[in-house]
Amino acid sequence: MRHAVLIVAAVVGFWLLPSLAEPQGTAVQQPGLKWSEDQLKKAAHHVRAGRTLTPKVWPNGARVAVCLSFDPDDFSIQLNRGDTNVVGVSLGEYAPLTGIPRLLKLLQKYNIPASFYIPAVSAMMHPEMIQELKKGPYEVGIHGWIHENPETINDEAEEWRLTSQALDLLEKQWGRRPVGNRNPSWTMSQYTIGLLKKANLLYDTSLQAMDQPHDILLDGQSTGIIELPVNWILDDPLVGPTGQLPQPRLLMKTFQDDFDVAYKEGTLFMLTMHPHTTPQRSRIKYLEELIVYMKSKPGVWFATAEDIAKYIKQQTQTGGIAGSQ
Amino acid sequence: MRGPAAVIAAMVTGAWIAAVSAQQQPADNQPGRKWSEEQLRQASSAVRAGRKLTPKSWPNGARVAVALTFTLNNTANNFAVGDSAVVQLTGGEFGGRVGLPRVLDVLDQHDVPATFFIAATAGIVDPEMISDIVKRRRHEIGTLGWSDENPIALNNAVEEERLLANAAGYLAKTAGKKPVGARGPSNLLSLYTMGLLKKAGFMYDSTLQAMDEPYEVLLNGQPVEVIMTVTVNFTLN
Repeated sequence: MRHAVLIVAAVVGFWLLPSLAEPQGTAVQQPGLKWSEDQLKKAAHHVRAGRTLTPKVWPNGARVAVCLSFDPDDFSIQLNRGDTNVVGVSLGEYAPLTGIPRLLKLLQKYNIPASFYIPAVSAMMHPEMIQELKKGPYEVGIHGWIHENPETINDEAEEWRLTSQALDLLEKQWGRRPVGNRNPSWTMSQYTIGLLKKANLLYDTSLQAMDQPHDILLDGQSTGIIELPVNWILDDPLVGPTGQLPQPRLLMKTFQDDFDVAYKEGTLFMLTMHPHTTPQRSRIKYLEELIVYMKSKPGVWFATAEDIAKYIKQQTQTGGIAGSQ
Repeated sequence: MRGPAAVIAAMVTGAWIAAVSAQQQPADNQPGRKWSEEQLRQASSAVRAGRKLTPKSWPNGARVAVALTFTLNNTANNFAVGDSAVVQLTGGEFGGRVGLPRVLDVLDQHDVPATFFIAATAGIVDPEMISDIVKRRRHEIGTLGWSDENPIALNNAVEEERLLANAAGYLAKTAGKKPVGARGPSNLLSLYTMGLLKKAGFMYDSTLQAMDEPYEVLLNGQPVEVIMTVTVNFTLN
């Protein structure tokens, strides 16, 4: 219902303002209504899911692979907008100052690896973050230069500049070149997948066509980039789309139910969280409960996305993939 | 970061695009991607968190300090933007006529002190709020700007200082005591606010969110003597 209300509000908002500005009310854009079948296919087929890449068996006979992942966006989004809002910066600092230390304590308690997708500017502003991550079983992947939106940049050279810069900065701090990408806001331009291939990345974790690993097709051709899919359901919003607080308990229950099916199907459970959200005092205990629940099941492989992708890559070379070949 | 502001921004942006650019690409407002490291630091360094200030022990050996705070903006922000829509104003009136007395009674029943951050114009239109709070003799009153204004949009240190002085003066006069604590009106601080609070001799701010324990505020890298922050948080709202 909340979503429905929001959509109605948004639609009314979209409709009202232009109709005030232009009494004729011609501004609603629906060009796709006139597209031919060819045009529709061209628009939809640029980036598609290829064959599934779930291995027949996970390492040590595990039934499911679990990746806990965190995006320390900090105040990079705000700086990208050119916004110096003081209170926003303070909320952005919650992650490096409070969230990550509390989170690492929990991950250490249960010896859980994790992947961190870090906008380069977040790492630049708080270089101690990656130094801390280097001490444990944690992976660092890219998450844009400054949590930019490549879709509105819509410029291949500029996107490549930002992606290369981000890889260079994280490599310098982490001591290794990242092999994985998560696009900021899970938004991609028409160029992104091509650029990830050009950057020779092993995997991406931004797309949502499946809930198990799959190959990415670019204009119908296999890219060899392994997709470890994400989903807005498996994400931890600070506040919901209408500004209400999500119920952390229900959120974690949803994650647990999702894990149960991943476990049953023997695929992948990829959870996306934010260090300014889940480590909040009212939420961290629910993540702990989820970890305890998952650990109570036999055959759960906790791993970084990099280790999962590497294992998949190895299995593709030895006929160890379960799905369509 | 994906809060209501983002949603509103998305709606406004969306509506604007629809209205003015029938055939154009979506607007790309991302100047920060071209900023140098120095520019990025400058843009984010005005107010930062300093050292933690949780005491080794709270009074009488207590384990935790609990502050119930109430933001009495009522419809002050409507006044700030010149909006006198009748029904909306009654929503603010509810705060003064019904909400606050009910809260004060509950606090009295349980002998719990609280802090009320009050926009001066909310006090001006419902003056019995302040006298009622004072009468209960257990509560604190702090500032919430002159009229729950948006200090970032104001972007004028002189005007902001005038409003802060007027707000503190009004509360001092009506409550009989100069306020020592501030919460940023509209939960916002401009680049000038911390400096102005320091200049005006405030003891603490309660707007920032970098930690969930008290901390010292750094203004351009320097500790703002006396000013610490009692952190707030969307979750605790």
